[in-house]
Amino acid sequence: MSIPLRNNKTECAVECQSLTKYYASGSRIFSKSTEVAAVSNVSFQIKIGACTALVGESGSGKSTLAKMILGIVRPSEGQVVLMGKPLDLIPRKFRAKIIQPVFQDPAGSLNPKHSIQSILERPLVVNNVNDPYERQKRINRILELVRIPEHMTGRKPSSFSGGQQQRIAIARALILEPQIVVLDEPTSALDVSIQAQILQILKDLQTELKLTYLFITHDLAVVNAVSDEVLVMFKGSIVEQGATEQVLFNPQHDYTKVLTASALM
Amino acid sequence: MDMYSRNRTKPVLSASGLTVEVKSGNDKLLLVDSVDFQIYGGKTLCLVGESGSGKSMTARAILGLCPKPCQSYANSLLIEDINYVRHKRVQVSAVRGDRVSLIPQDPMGALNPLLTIGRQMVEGFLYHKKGTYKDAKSKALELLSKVRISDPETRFAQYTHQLSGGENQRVLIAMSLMCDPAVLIADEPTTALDKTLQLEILTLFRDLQEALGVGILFITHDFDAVSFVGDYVNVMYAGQIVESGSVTDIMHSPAHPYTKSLLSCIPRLDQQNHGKLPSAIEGTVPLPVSDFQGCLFYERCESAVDLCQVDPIELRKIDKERHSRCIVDVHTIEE
Repeated sequence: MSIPLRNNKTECAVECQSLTKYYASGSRIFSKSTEVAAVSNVSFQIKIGACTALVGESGSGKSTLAKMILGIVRPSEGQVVLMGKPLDLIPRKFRAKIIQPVFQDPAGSLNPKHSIQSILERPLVVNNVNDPYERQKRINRILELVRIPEHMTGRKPSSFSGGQQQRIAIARALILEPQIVVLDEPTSALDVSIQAQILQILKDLQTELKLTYLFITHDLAVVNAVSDEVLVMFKGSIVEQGATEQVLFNPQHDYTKVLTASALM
Repeated sequence: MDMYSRNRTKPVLSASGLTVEVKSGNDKLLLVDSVDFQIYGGKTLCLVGESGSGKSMTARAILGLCPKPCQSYANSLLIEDINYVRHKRVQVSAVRGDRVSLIPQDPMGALNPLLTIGRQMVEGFLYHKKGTYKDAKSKALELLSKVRISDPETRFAQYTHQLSGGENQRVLIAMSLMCDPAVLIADEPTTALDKTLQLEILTLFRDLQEALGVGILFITHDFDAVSFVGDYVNVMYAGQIVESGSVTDIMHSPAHPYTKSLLSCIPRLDQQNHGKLPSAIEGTVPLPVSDFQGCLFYERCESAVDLCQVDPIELRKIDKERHSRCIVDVHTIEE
């Protein structure tokens, strides 16, 4: 596995330095638009190999923060540092080998017209893995890891169940062997039994491939099961962060208290 | 019948032998396999199970709304003591929306974006009750305030895009109550909503069932919702009811191995379970072909014995109001 841009001195996979994002709101042709801060002055670090959960209600800025870390949205102020390198200095092509997303709705994130084979092969072709044997080897390996039988690769996403589709989405995210994976509510569209399977697979993959996870969710029970650290977001800023056990069972901030209390209904 | 004086000990809906089948190649798939259940007035019966277990199909079969290739049959379907089955077919269309009504999963998809909320609400009332528009409107406004929608007069004239997701779901609940139904079928009414909104809608369900005495069939895969609103639970697996009983019994001492595995899939929010992954059920749900022998859960069951594969397993009574479709003795499993 080649890690072209890794700075060996760093211990942080992701480092956010006072990130702020403004969105224009209420813009009209002749009146000046006002700016709303979706994320304001957020700083935190995620250690290599850790699973950090990001919790908060909808509209709290979780997704905007995730998009900034993924490089989909440019921050208005501050910067993101991935594996010791500022995100702006990493060429787009290399970003894909460092950080990858998995989204909530598996059916919506897989192209319904492509077979699983071509969905998984495309990132390799784009990233200059030119040897077809090598490509096939990597596809087979990743499918084995997410427990999809090899003979099913010719099928389209619609012939798989929701849980299998999500596993394919995970396989696609991991095919370039990234070090960081941003999981945006990967199990909230799934049944509890499928959710348990996906969480198990994610945990296995983390130890197997030494991945760093940013796990966005609103389900505190899932946080309790998988994550090492928690960031609590409220109205665009991080109000509490720390070890999972501490934040969930001994919350300090008022909002975290409300959040943990409502989860135990 | 006055809706407040409904008899709460007799079932408002009782189904027996409800079956949905579909042809697939040379096989016949039993999507719902002769399901029996009763819904009591003022009580909530929850139907839980994984996706593909036949929960929604059961609801559709009651309403006579199965999609085209599927065939639905029943031995009897009594709604307020009137049988709606003729020649094994469910023919409920005359009272659909009147005695029995549906709250669908996706509020945005269920409402017409081109018609006002009010127009859609009065439609069913005018059709079934043959009342005047004035009566219908006052009924609609009364129900809108009952489901805690602020300023019903304004909302009545608005369109769906002017309301939030939670408000749209409330409108649907109000709409389903327009004809004072005896039975409400709620097909995953909270799945499409935020966690905080879910709690509000579930509270609303609990209050309405108390106040109106309707029987509710609540379809969900969320056990939090079950313990919040439910009185009785039917657990479905591959088209069959594998266990039925009261909520406390099933949540605290499940008898069927499937219910046990399903409950152990739920991640728990307490300190003992910190860092522990919920255990997954290995394997996949088998195709419910009509000539399947033995227990459908055999392949994935931890306490399976050879006998499980021989005969079809019947739902048998194990307690006063509990049934389980398992031949392995409950008490030996627990030890």
